[in-house]
Amino acid sequence: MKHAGSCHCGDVRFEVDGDLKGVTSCNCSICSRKGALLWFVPRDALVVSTPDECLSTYTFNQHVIRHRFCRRCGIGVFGEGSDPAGNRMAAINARCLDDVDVEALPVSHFDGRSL
Amino acid sequence: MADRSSGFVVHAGGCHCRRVRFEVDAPASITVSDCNCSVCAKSGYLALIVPSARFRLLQGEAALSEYRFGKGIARHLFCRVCGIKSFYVPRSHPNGISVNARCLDAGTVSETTIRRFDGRHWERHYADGVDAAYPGEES
Repeated sequence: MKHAGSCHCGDVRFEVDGDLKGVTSCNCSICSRKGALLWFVPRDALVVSTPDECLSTYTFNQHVIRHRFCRRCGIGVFGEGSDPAGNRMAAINARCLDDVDVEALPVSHFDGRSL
Repeated sequence: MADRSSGFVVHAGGCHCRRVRFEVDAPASITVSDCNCSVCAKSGYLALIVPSARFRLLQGEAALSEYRFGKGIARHLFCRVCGIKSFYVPRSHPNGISVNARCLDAGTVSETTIRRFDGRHWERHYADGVDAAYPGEES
């Protein structure tokens, strides 16, 4: 199933193809500041329909995850990285999905602070 | 740091990359608003709203990017480097500052009480204008 999403101002729009069964709440330094509720999908399942220049990229520590946010409204829409097997992944901020009640989704907690 | 005369402690906080840093005077036990409006829902914001005299931006003014929408009254601010919205100037309290409780450093908050705020229907709450009271500090 395809889920559309966006930042707040609409400069960043995207679509994710996948089965959204739940989200992950991570307590690491950046996820906790965003209150991000993450949906992990293969990077290829994410199609961004707006120009890449609308997205800023922030990396820190080992600089392996690209935290992407809208230049204009600041909303953190997704992150890009790789899983342990080397597959390119995206972590979608489910808060940014249209027509999805994130509070109705099961939440699994990830102790990213301890990594 | 406790201030016994006011009952407030100094909470420090800021964005992720630490360009933006601030201090806010508030109780150790804080009451914050979890708002469901279009922008708070996407930014996962937990609002600790205080009079502006109790907020001190220590550094990072030049790193802040401003975003306005709708009526254009609220000044939504985020760090242009890391994207984190650590505080902003809210429409409901134009003489106040809304601090994102998620951006407070660990160690000074003893307890967080979360109140739901139906910001999606903002006008219903503020039909008579902006709010004189500060959440959690009603007398």
